[in-house]
Amino acid sequence: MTKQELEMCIDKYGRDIYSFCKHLTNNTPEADDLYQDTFLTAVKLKEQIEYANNPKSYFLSIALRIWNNKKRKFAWRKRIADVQPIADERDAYMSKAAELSPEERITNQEKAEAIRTAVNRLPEKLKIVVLLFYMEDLSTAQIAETMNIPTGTVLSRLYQARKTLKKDLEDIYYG
Amino acid sequence: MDKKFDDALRHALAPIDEADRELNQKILNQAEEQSTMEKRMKRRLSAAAIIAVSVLSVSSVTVYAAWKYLPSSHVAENMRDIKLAEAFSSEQAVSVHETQSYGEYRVTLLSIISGELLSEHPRCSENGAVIADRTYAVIAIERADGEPLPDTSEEEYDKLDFFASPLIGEYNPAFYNIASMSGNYTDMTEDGILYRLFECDSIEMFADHDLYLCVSEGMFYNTDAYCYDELTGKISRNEEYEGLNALFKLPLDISKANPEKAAEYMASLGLESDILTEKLNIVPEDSFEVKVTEDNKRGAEIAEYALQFVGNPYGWGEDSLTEGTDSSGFAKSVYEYFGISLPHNSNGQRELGTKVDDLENAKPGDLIFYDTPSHVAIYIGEGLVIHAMPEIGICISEMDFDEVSEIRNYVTETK
Repeated sequence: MTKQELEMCIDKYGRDIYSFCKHLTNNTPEADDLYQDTFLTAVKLKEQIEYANNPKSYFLSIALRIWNNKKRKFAWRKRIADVQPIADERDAYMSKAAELSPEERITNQEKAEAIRTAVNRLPEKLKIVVLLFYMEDLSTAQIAETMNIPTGTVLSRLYQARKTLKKDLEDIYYG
Repeated sequence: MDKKFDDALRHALAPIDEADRELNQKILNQAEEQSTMEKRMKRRLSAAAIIAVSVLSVSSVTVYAAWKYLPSSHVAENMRDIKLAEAFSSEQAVSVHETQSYGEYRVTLLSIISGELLSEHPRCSENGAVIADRTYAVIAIERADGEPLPDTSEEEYDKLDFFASPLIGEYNPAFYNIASMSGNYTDMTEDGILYRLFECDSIEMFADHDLYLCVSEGMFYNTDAYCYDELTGKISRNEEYEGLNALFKLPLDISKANPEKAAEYMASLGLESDILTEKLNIVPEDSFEVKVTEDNKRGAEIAEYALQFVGNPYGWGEDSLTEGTDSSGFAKSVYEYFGISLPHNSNGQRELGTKVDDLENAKPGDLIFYDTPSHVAIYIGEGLVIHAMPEIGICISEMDFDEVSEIRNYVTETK
């Protein structure tokens, strides 16, 4: 990948990838690291890049691989536990929203915050599928490829995720 | 499937988070380090990638990513102009982000803004009045080969000269540019990219003309780099020119045009002067010779020396006696030969030497200054001057081809 191509890719997919990293890690410094490592790894792996396919899902799969590797390391896991997650604010929002009586109107902004918080609470396997599907707009087949799991598994995780989210958001969203 | 629920999820999870500029920049830099280490492993791109890249770079004009450059407001802020920084962040500013690569450089026009009292440091006219209506623009210049440009504090920077100026269709750019429109600029360098914030009198009133922004090398407008069609009034890049000659079309709101005000402004610049062309480029009589007097040997030598260059070409912003020079460059180079150093601009030259109070007292070798336009000539005696004249070259003319504003002497021995 030349500098120009990298620039082009950052320009075109940077926002998608960064948003994904941010929601996946739920922590800005970690998101920055993951985002950076994703592109640098992509540059390194240039020999294997299939540009003709969807480059976005290629970058996403790299990000996932790096993330999984990192999580395996104990020290790193400890680091995650120590840092203040971004979700603090969103959690506060959530509990505040939960206190509201059904009569009180909840703004769209607050609804969106509540949804993000709920997504963040999902088990990671479900969360990744949700992010790839709703945030990154990948098809279930593309998700299967990106995560290297069967399409059937993607569908069932998506179903479980929806069910959990609906339950979690019942009060706010349907209330 | 619950469509409403899906939509709510899509909306809440829209990818709106962006990495900040520094992070993207860091990735590019690191990737570059990485790739220089792995150069041997380099392989050709797949065809799809080449197509993707070439779609983005039709000709050499590219719209580059905004994150790659500092925001204009940031540039203004760095130059300690918070008010202007705020103006650049407002809706009044037009963000362009167009990039052109020519010669060794890549130039990006970031944004442009016109309006009244936008800056904390307003410009004053010669009589002290604030010039309210100004145009400001920020451009980024970088080397096409990716090498960093020197920091403005480094000595290398002093060797770089870029001329960036708005140009107005139907007005000869050699005369109507940032220099005549009371312009100035400030440079700063970050990450090897040179940012220039420049300002001049507002060009908004010319919005019914074609408006351009030129960026070339050198201190002055470069007549070789651009073409001006006298008939159509169009300004274009000289395609044959090999150096940097970027030319952007400026987007301006045509409703802001004010032809009356524009005409008045142009007249106030006084560039359309009453030069008596019949007094220009004359051939002196055979009997003419530079008079040598006891108290002005040096001045006579200067005049004599200057005369050998008659017929050589004119060159805006240059100072070669044989390859092309403008009027102040001509005076500078002739005087240089005699060990007298003068600046390359007639206003600076006026600050040196001693004033000669009367036309009658002018001696060969004195410099004769004209105001409209700013011009300088060397007196050679008998009412004649030698000077570098646009479109003519180095020639002899009658001193009163235009109104003389000042005469100065730099050599008379004070014995």
